[in-house]
Amino acid sequence: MGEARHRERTSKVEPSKCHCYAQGRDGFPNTLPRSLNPNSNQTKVCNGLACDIASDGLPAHRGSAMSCEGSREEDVNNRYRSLQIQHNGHNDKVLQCTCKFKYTKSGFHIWSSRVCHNRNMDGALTEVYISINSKFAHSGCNKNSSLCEKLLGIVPGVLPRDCPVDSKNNLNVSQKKGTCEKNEGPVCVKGLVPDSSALRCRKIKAGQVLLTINDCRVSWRTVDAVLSELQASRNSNKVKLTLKTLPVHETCAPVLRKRNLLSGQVISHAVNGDNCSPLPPGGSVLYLTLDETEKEENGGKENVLYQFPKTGSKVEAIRGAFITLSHTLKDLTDTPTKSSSLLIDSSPCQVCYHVEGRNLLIMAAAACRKSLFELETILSDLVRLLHVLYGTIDCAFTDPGNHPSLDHLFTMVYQCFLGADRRETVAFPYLSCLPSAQALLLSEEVKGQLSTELSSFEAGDFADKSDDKCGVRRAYTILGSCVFYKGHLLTSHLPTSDLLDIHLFLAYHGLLHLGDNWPVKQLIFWQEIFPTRRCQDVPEKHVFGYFEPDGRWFLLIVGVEHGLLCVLLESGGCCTRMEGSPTPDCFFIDQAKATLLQLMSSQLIKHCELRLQSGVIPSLSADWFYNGKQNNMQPTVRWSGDLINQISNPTDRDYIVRSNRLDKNSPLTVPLDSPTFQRSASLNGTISGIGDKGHRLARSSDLSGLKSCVIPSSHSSRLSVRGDTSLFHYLYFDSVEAVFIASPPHIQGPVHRELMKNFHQTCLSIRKLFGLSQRVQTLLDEDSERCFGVDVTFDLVEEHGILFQYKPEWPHAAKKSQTLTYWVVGRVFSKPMPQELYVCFHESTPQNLVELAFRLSFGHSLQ
Amino acid sequence: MAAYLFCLTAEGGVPLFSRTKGDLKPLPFPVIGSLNGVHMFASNQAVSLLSTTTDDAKVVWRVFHDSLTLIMVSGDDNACDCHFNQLLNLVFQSMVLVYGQDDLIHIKNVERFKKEIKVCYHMVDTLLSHDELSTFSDVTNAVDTILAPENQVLQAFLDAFVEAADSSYGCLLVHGKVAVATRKWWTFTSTELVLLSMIVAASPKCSSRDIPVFLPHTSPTVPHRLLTYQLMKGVEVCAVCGPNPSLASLEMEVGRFWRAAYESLKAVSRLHPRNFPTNMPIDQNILGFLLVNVESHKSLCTVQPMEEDTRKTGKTMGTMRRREILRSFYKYVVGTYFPSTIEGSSEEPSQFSHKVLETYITSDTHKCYAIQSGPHQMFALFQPCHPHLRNEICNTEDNDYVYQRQDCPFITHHNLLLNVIPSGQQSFFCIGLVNIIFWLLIFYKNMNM
Repeated sequence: MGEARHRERTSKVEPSKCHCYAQGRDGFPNTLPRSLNPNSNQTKVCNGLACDIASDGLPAHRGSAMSCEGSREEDVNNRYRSLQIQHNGHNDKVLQCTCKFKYTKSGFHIWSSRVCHNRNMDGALTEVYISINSKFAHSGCNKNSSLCEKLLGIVPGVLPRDCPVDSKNNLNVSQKKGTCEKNEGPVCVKGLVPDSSALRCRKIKAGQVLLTINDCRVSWRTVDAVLSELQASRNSNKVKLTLKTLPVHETCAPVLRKRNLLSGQVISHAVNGDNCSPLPPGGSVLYLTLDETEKEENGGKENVLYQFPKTGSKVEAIRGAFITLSHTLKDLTDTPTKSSSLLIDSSPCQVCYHVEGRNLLIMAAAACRKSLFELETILSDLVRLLHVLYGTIDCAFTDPGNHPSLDHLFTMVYQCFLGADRRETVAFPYLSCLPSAQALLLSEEVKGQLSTELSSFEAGDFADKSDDKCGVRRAYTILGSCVFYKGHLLTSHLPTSDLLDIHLFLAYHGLLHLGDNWPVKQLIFWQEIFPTRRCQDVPEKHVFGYFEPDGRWFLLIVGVEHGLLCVLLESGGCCTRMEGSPTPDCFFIDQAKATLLQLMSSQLIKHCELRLQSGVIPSLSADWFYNGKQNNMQPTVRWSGDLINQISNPTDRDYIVRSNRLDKNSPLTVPLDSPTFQRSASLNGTISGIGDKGHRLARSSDLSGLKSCVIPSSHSSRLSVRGDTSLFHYLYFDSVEAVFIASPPHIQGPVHRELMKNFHQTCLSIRKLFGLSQRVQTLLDEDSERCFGVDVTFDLVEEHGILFQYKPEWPHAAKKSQTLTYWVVGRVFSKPMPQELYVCFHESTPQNLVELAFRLSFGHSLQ
Repeated sequence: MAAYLFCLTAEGGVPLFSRTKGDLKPLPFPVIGSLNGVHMFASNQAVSLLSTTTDDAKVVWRVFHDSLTLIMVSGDDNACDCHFNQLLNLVFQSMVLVYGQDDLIHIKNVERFKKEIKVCYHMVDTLLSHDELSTFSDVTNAVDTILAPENQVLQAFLDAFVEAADSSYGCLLVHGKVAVATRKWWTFTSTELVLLSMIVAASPKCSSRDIPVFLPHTSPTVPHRLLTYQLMKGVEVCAVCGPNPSLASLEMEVGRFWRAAYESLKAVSRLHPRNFPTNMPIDQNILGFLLVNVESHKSLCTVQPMEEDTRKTGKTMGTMRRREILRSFYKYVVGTYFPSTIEGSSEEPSQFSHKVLETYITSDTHKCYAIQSGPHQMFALFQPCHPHLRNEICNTEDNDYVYQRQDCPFITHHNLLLNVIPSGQQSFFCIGLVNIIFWLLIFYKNMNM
């Protein structure tokens, strides 16, 4: 039904004046940031991002709002909109965030927002005078609109009578009851009609309660009567409204559960430009130029085109040194300057450089927080992202209009990627250093279904909206799309480079993380982008007779609950080339949303959850070695002891092989038809041939008991396919598809967390070495003369492994049996395509099995 | 790898000297000036600029005693900055060794200083051309030693000789590597040990020398005399002594003290370049290794573990290349995974929450492996055809293989070895070839040194 309504509205829209509507409880209080910098050249845009978070999984069809209005003549006011987000957290507590969105030439950005607990506005009364729109000309109103909408431009809602200021009964609840429920409850502002006087006056905010109209008290029941009277009388164009701001329950903070602290932060950053938590010290971003700058514009700071944070820092004070260095060293060594390490007030700090023509972008971070390699990767990612978003780095930084959104981006980066101490990180930002999206391995059947649905959407064959019917050439071609679920890529119909662009955008704006931890009620994003493939890495040689069409590209992201659908659109080429700042088609967004909802069927979600929970390959938790200690020390000791004895005795060498054999007695929780099972079975089938001898041993050694004691019963369901495993974690990275898969981090425990941290850190180290090796190879291939010579030690590195040992610190832990020793091994395969595999496994794993596992892995293709 | 080294006064930025290594064009003064300028500018703002890397090169700044600034521009070693700092530190300490700390800290006449500091050039150049050195002591900060069965015999000869020189500091150098030294000699700091060995090796060849040395840590302001006498080709005995005896008077005694040790000296000298006893078997696939004791500051290296029959094994990697790889591998591992005595090398390893025991890298042309246990660190280089490294550690077969080889004289040492190995190291049961050698050498060193 929602769709139908949308379609109806769309047809009403005049092409020159684009309006996108959304109804619903959220409106657009018209707050204008003071720092607004008018720029008359900026044309209207109708891009929008709206996200609405609801953890209770309410259906999203009554969606919150897509902002958007404005025409070429519109004043700058329309470039900012704010949107209220209500998070109905647990215990029905409400978290309200207000975020302002900023329109710029290139798109639409979250500009600033605040989490409004309405502390100082508790019960505050606001008096507002607005003019009545007697012509009912609010373009947002249709015939079904209430009088309130027509006259005042306020979308009315109703609050339960008995608790007008009790936030526990939040708006959603009452909304669910239905607006038709007539009771004595007061009228609340559910939303504001676009282009209405209520919106323009900027004082009315969604969530406020409408107490009086012209000093006449109103309730849900009486409001229509009062308004019709008003309409009839027509004695004055102005009407006085008294509104009361509802206090939001102060205890909304605990809504963010401990586990979600980080994501809570992310959300508040995603919607929040304010620096609510302090930036990590030492962090700073500067964009410097050698050219003369006008001093007034930059607050008297020479050479600085952009600065983050705004407060001066030591790094900024010595910016001249960076400029000199980057130029001197370029001449001296023929290669661009990469990084510097400094001591600022005796605390180490790292600085990375990116040279852009005569300008220089530098990024600094405290060294204790990130290794240099991570910082370098993040900077190069950001450079790519800025290219994608703004076309060129210069564009991004020289236009002051972009600065707020850049501020926001860097705040996100510093707080989410560079801020967290290595030890406290909940998620692993190390993963962000892989140029790829984390994929979720789905069964072929599910994957096929997904692909089919996506393809039918991409075909763009919407019956009602086909070219023939409308008689207009279509505005956009869908180049491809991809679907994420909880931050994991499900399927992608995009070229690798485009997927990477989009993934970078999602990751650095915290949207992936958001989708991972919080169900989003609705999220819509629309922006023109400059894909790397089309704008940066354009190949010199074209295939004869074929040219990539020249056009403009737009990114549309639609999110519902945990799912995200990203669509890359092209304008130009075979469809009309859009001029100015085109808007997304409402119909189109609806279609995308419908597709996403269709994709996120309960069956798929169930399937994904299963994979997220258990992973394809069962893995071991380091803590299981120690958990037993408190309760029953014997088993763990015996296990590791046994294992070592077994290995040291060559006749029992098959022990490990045997233990990987499929244990038929164990309960099978994985469905028999799932590929997991089939793969394990085939793998085990291969191995069991070798392990025949082990059968005999199995009977002689006490293995059944061993298994049950090593694996606590609570975990047995996850590990039931194989007898036991010595794998802690793995990460497989395919640079051709730009995806990686990793075992799900479902295993908790202090030791395991440390192990995981080590694993990720080591992966970075290993990856750095692989990168080095690649660079040496290219240098050797080019046969280029380097003035300082090339260190060829790490040429053609294939594998790199590190053995770690953990000794528990508790007393009586001195025994050898209490130490945990594990390998972290990374291997790179360049043929047939570049792939990398990182594994973390117990030391006891015999070499032949490890080798076998590597081989099998590289035989396996993801797509 | 080519490199520039600039020395300037810290206060005024007056260039004192510059050394280049490799085929590099001399740099114009403005470039040196701006390199020094950025550092001075930053330090005026209370920020100290430590290092900067480009894709290929690395620049390191270091100020010593607020008097001298050393700037080094060299190819990027892709390793922790601590190695460059170690090199600059050695450069400065070698200047102290030759010139004295007082005169370095308080430069009265710059022009005169420029002329006088030239005495340090041969040491500085030796340090810069480190990849031509046959030793690793400059990177490991542990003095190179040679391990010989005869060492115990020679100890007595040395002690007697040093006593005759009115000193208690003396050592016997075989091709730049310490064979034996007096007990007091080992009380020198690691830098002093490294530099004393190096100054002898770096000096022009002659039968006897009398070099004034300022010991950088023990006595940086008062010079001592370093007397060296060549006993035979590549074998020199050194003593650090006071004003007496004179070079000539002690030279008369040399023959009397050392004649009896001639055969032993010859045997030790023959161990070069293998550097460890010939009766110790070593796998064909090991191309070289480096063993470092970070506590006692001793190291043992070899890149020619055996006489190679090129007809049988085919052409193998050249010794220069082996040395280069071992050096790079050492730099890569220390400061990243292993801590060491080098300043600043323990920062990154301490970022790991669990201790790193072993690491390896395999590539098409070679394999590298490193292990640390207690104060010992070992870095080994293998042929690529060698079975997988982890095999070494995980499979017991290799152990048995070593023990069962009939030509292996160490079967007799087997039980002895087990006693030597610290009790916590039960993983010995799982270790392979490398570890066997590792333990054998540690055992040897424990016995002899």
